[in-house]
Order: sequence, then C-alpha cells, then structure tokens
Amino acid sequence: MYLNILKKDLKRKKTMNLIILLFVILAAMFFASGMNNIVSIMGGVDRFLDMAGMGDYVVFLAQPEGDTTYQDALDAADFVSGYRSDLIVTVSSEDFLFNGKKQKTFSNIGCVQTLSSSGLHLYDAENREITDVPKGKVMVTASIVRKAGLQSGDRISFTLCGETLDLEYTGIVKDAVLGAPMLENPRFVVNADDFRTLTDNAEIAANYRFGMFCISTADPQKTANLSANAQTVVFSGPRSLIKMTYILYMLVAGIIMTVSIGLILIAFVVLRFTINFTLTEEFREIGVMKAIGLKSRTVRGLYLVKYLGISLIGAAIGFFASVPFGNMLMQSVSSDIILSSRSPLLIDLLCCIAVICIIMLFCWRCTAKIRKLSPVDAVRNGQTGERFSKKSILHLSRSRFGADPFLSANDILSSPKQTGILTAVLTLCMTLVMILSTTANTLSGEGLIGLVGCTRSDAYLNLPSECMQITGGVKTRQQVISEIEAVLSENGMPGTVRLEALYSVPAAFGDHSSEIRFMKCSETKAADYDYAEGTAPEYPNEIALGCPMAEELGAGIGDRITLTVNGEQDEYIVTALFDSMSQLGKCGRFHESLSIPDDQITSFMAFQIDFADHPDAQTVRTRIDRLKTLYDTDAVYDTAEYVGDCTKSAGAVNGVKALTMVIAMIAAVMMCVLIESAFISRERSEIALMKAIGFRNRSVIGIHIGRFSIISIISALLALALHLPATKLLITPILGLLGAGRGIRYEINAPETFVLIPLVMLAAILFSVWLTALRTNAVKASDISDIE
Amino acid sequence: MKTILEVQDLCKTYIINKRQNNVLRNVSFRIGEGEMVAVMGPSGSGKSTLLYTVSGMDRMTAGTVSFCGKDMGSLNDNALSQMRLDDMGFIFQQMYMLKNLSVLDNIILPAVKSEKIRENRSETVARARALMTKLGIAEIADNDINEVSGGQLQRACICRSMMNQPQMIFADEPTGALNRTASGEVMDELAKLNGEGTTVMLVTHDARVAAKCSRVLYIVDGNIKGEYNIDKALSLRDRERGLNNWLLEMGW
Repeated sequence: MYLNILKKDLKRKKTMNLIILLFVILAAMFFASGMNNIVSIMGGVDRFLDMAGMGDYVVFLAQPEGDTTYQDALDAADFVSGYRSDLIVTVSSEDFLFNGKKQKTFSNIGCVQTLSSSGLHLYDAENREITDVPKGKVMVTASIVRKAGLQSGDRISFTLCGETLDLEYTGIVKDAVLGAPMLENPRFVVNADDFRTLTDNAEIAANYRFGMFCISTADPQKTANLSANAQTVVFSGPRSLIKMTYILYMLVAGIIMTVSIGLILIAFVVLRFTINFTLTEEFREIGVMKAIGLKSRTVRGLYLVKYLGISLIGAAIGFFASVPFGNMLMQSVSSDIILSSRSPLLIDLLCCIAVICIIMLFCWRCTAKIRKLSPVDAVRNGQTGERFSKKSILHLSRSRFGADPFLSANDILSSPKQTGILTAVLTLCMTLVMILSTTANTLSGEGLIGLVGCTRSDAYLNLPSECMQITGGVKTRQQVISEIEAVLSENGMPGTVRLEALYSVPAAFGDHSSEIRFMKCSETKAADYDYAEGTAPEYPNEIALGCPMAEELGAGIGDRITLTVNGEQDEYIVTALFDSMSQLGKCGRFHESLSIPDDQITSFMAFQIDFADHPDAQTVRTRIDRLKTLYDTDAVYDTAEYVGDCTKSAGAVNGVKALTMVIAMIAAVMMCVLIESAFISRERSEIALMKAIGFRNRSVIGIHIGRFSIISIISALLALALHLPATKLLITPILGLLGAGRGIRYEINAPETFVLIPLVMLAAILFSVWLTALRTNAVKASDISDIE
Repeated sequence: MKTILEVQDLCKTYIINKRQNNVLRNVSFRIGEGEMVAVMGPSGSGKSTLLYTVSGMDRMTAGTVSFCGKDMGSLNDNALSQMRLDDMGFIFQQMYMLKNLSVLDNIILPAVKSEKIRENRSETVARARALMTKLGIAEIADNDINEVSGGQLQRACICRSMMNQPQMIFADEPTGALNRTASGEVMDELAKLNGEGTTVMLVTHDARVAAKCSRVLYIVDGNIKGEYNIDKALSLRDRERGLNNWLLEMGW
C-alpha cells in the first residue's frame, strides 16, 4: 500500500517533489563543500605553516653582507628554541621581465632566493618539498604564476645593479610566509650558482640583501622585543599575523557556508509549505485512512517515507556533486597551500547525513498536524464553510482597481502566512546578493582610502624601484618627489606629490614592547586623517595608534609610549586611536613635523598626486593613462582602484557574489515555481469558474503574475531597506579582522543594488512564474463540472 | 419567436485512454428568445456536456452552434470568453464562488471585468444590491461565502449570472445541492427572471424543477430522444404529473 500511495503522490506532485529534491541536492552540496572548505582551510593553514617550519614569529631585516648581529641575538636568547633563515635579494617589478615583458601589474617587492637546508621549507605543485632547482631554472609563487599566466618553459630575467640572470620557469612554489594572494609578494627560487651571481655583486649585497627569519619561540613577546631592538627590521610579526593573510580563503569559505545555511533554511520553508499544502489537500484521504483504522503514526509514516526517500536521493546526489564542486572551490587554495590531510569524503558524507537528519526532524514536526485530522474531516468537503475562516480583506465594491489587479492584491492579503513565507524567502535571496555587492563595492571604493592609510588624491602611482632607491640611500625622498613633480610639469599636468612612508619603530609600554609600523607623510597634516577616538597629534611628540595596536599594548589615549626613533628613546603621548587596514590595524601615525631620516623608512605607500588645476574625473582618467605610459607601469590608480589594490579582496568577494547571485536566483525561481504550482493545483475550481464566467486565459495568467509581481516588489523594497543593516551585522565583524572595525563606511553601488539586482531577480521570478502559469491554459471552463 | 440558440448535428467526442467516447451524437435543437428549457436524462447521458458545449465552455467535435446568430465554432477562445462574459450567465450545482471575495464582490466581479455596461463602480454596486434585494439576499452582501447558507449562495450565483444582463442563462443542476425549500425558492427566482424575458437553459434530474420550464428535452446516450412542451396554463401539480408520465414513456 505504501508503495502504491507513494507512486501516486510522486506522479501527482511531480513539480513539487522535484523542487524539494533540487533544494535538498543544493543544500547538501553547498553544506558539504562549504564545511569541507572551512575544515580544510582552518586545519590546512596551520599544518602548512608547521610543515614549512614557519615557527612562531617571522622577521624580515635588511642584512648587508656579513651583518650577523640579529642571528647572534637569536642564538643567545634562551626562549628561542630554533629558527630557520633565508638570505634573499629583493627585486621590484622594474628588475624582472617575464618573456621579455615588464610585469606592469605587480607593484609589490619580490624575493629572489636559493634553497638552504636551514631555510624555510618550500613545496612544489605535488606537495613535495623542493630540494633542488636546476641551474638556469626558476620556480615562482603559485598566486603570481596564476596572475601572470606563466607556463612551463617561459623565460624570466632579472636585471639588478648591472647583473643579468636569464632563467626558465619550471614550476610553482607553495610558500607559507609570502604565498597568500593578499600579500602578492613574488618569491623566485633559483639555483645556488645563479643566486650567487646576484649576491656576489657588492651593490646588491649592500642595498638589496635581506634576511628572513622564522623563529620557534617559547615567548613570542620577548621575541618581539628582540626584533624591536634590531635597527634594520623591515617587518616582523607573529604567526597569527601570517595566518591572517589567508583570511581571504576564510572569507570565501564563510560566505559559501552562509549561502548553504540560507539554502537549508529555504529548503525548510519549501518543505513546510509543501507538507502543509499536501495535508490540506489530502485531509479527506487522511480522514478515510483513520476511519478504516490506521493509526496517526502509520499515516504520518506514509508521508515521512516519501520525504525520507527524497532526502536520501537528494543527499546522495548532493554528496557526489559536492566532490567536484568542493574541488572547484578549493582549486586556487590548493595551488597556494598544502591542504589538511583529513578525508574530504568523510566530511562530505557526515554533512549529507546531517542534512538528511535535520530535514527528517523538520518533516516529523511538520506532519504533527496529521494527529489532529479526524475521520470527520473526510466527510466535509470544505466548500460549504466549515473549513474556512474569514478571507476577504479588500473590497472590490469599494476599490478603484480593475478586476485583475484587485484579485492579485486581494489574494495576497487573504493569505498572509503564505505571502509572508514567500516574501521572506525572496527578501533573503535578494538581501544576500545585495550584501555581497555592497561588500565588494566597499572593498574597492573610495570610502576605504582612510582605512588603507592614505588621504584622498587624484591619482596614486606605485613605483617600488624609486622607493627602493630611497631606502637604499641612492636618492632622498624629497628628490624622488621633486623628480615626479618635474615629470608632471613637463607633461602639462602640474601637481604636487605626497608620499606616505612607513617606519618600523621599537615601542614599549609597561611590560609590553613591540615593533610598530608608524606612518608619516610630511606633506599631509596628521589632522587630515580620520580618528575613531581622541584628537589628531599636534606636536612631534604626539602619536596616534591603530585600535588593535593599542589593544595589544594595553595603551589608551593619554598614555605615554616609549619609542626608539633615530636611535633615541623618547616618550610619545597617545592622542588618538584610529581604525586601519594597514598592517591589519597594528600600526601608528606620527605627527607630520617629526623629523626622521630617510634611511629609517622601511616601506612606502603609493605616491599621491594632486593635480594643481583640479581637473574633472574624465581628465584625471586621461592623465592616469598618460602616467601609465610615462612610467611604463599599470600601477597607477584612481582612489577606488588604489583601495581595491590595497585590500585585494574585492575580486574574491565579487566571484562569490556572482555565484551567490546564481544560487539566489535558482532558489527564488524554484520557490516561486513551487508556490505557483501549488496555487494552480489548489485553485483549479476558481480558475475554471473565472473562465466559465468569461475571464480570458491572459487575465488568469495576469492575476497569477500580478501576485508574484507585488510580492517581489515588496521583497525588493524590504531587501533594499534591510541590506545595509544586515551587511553591518554580518560583514563588519569579518572586516574587523582586517582592521577595518568601526571605521568602515559601506559604499552602495547604487545602479547595481537599486536597479540591476532587483530587476534581474524580478525578471527571473516573473519569467518562471509566467512559464508555470501557462499551465492554467490547460484548465478549461468546462472542468468546473469535474471539480468537487 | 426569434431563435437565440440553434444547434445542428452537434457531436462531442472524448478520447480517454486511447478509446473514443462519443458523448453527444448529432444533437439538433433550437431555443427561442424568452424560453425556459430543461434538459433531462439519465446520469451519463450527456446533459452537462451538452450545456457546456452549447455555451462555449467546451469545444464541439462536429456540428454547428449558433448563439444570437454567431457561429460559435468559428470563434476563438478570447471571443468565446467575451461572449460568456457579456451575453451569457452561468449557475452551477456547487455554487462556485471565489473564496477570497465577499458575496457582493463575487456578484459584481463579471460586471467589473466586462465593459458591456458603461457605469462607474458605485453604479455597479447599486445594481448588484438591487438584484440582491430582488432575490431576497440583500443582508448577506458583505458576508464571506462561508457565512451564508447554500440557498442564499445559489441566489447570489443567480445575481452574479444576471449582472451583465445576459441574453441567456445556462444552469447546470442549479438546485442539485439544495434542500426542497431552497430548491423551490431558487427555481421561483429563475422562473421570475424568465418571465422578465431572460432565456434559460437548465440541466436537471428533478421533474419538479423541470415542470417550471416551458419545454423539456430528453437526452439518452448523447441523442435527444424526445421533446415535451409544457402547458403553462396548467397548475404546477398538473404540469409535474404530465411531465412525469411523459418521462415514464421515455424510459426514465
């Protein structure tokens, strides 16, 4: 009997069952691959850092030939259990060519090194440790290979201080410290003989030779103090900071997980709707079954068997689909790091079982209504009143609307629960896409310029080679600025140039000491930046601190921090706290008048250009293109582009946004098709009646589309109203990890959020409803005689 | 008497499970303006199919149906819908109404949809209320359909069928779901409408109902087997007796 009833149900409710099946497949697929993604990345990053020997603390310092002071200090420190060190030569995009072409898109400093038994472990594409690079060959960080589209056999040549090294690209490097796409620092691993060609050059040794130390320590704080005392430290940070550079992976995995939870919620709504609909439609059959002696539990089991079948089939398909889908999501991650060795299939399987269990529990709860249906229900056919509550809300007699729009609006108001469910699902779908749109737009929007550590300018020019000349002492900062201003003048676009410099400064407060990256721009007043608390530094002995930095030191406004600037220890008063994504917020700002020699600069932001004639946006665009030609680089940006280049996460979020848009659209369309199918099935008698009294097919379809139009428009308006608070609620904590915190000002891409997303969703929904509503054509006026 | 509905050699065939089922076979009859014609016959004889086919609710397989001089076979679905909306009224056994509308709204719905009578909404409502008053259901105008009795609902259906001042009313067992009292009231209203000039064609199993008509068509196996003219000068009881005798002759 079970089988016969099931067969009948599957045949009669084909569309509904198919849609539930699709939702279960999607939910299982996303949940399994999202969970797998998170587990693999969470476990994978730590495992990868351990395999590479990253230790607990990493330090980069300028290490001219023979300078081993820092190594001596490490050797002497009892809290340091060991360290791995690599000698590296830094190169800018000016110094290397891929297949004879300058890589205009790279603006970060690259590292050339050879393998050393005492150095960081590096791995190849097959996760094997790289022990040897043949002479004449070079291996490159995976994310850089992807971006540049390097193929095996391509030529990479380095020209530095008159030395030229022409090598053949032979494979990718999985690099734990610099491998995250967020950093985008190329690491070139070459043969020892080739590397010697560079290091033997005295000028290179003096200006471009650095050491990278990965330290295993029992006391990261003391290790930080140790590096704070070293004068030539360019960068230092704990393991947590390096882990944070992989946050983009987590961001994407988190969004996939959020989408999967959204899908499971929608699947629940679909199930609840379907079960309620089925029970309402089949109350007579249930009553008859009870009348002939079947127990509630047996009748309930009948329905649960069907949903168990659908869940099992859906979860099984979802399980098999989650493997390639998960691999696709992890494709770029697995080429950057060595993922966790946990069995992905086991996680997928457990997730799919969890989806089945959750759905069955939900179905069990939804079918509780069966207990209330009695044999008496079987004899009530529902048309004479007993089963209806008050329905009419609007009054056609008092309305100015025509019959069709009135019926659409009245039907919606007469079924508030159903309308509420559909509105909630559509609002959820649209809100999800809008949240990601706003997040992506914010991460590449002008509003974030303050958070990346700069003020607003007409153009931003990244010239790492010029910067290296300043740090190398070849030119002064002022000289480079003057040269750029001269180029601007010569080319008919006079303007002023500013340069935000970063200094690595040892700091101490109470028991805490650390090395803080301080920002200073002599040409910009400290008061021109935004602060979360306090007032901008007004004197040279005043500083502002990034909120995470202040938290780490335990310092607040009014506290005096001991800084070692120009070799002299002095106390500086904290006058303000600010949010910043620069150094993930672990930074500070000096007053512009503080005098520090150029050789103390460790790195730079881009050269900020403000044109003297205050040109319009079109002219600025033209000048940016001109600057690209003049400096033979692609690294010239307007404010929004510069923010995007600094955050490097807008692209990833945009990718997830596109995927979410497709998923949200599928979910919304399936939900609408399901509900419209239920409407047609439930309202067959009313459709036939309308046709009998003279409504045309077009009118009936119009009434059905009208309902969904109204609900979709309400959902779009709700999504527009809710998406910003929802973005703040969901995304601010994630961006807070990047240091953005309270300072983030979300920028809405108005055409996309207000027009494109609602219109695309609306078009997809209405088109699918129209296609489904065409089935009303099959209901004839004469069918009224066949309907009970 | 001017002919309002003329049916010639009407055939209706359904294909069910690849088997041909000839429900109507060469049916021919005509109904004059102001007539009230009942169609009777055993269950499954094709009464309702005949009603739906000649009213344009269903397509015929062969033959011709002419309503007010228009060949219904040549009309497309939209034109048939327009004809049902403007020129025909329908009453069904199950008192079908839209559940989300009040009784009054259900009644005015065809008038709001139609452009046949140029009037504003308040005039439409006034007309509907007048009809309801005439049929004795004015007090249920603002009720939901679940709040009224079957008899009241069927009278509301009659009001709805009258809203566009149709040429003809088609009623499919209009008293089938009503008790004897309500049935009598509904038939009295239909007879009254007919008396005012509206043509009525109704399908019924009940000789008491058919006795209020001017003519009865008896259909068996998709064919009209006989036709009985009722003498309206006789009392209702005599008409009913005469009809019953004729029906017995027909094999009822």
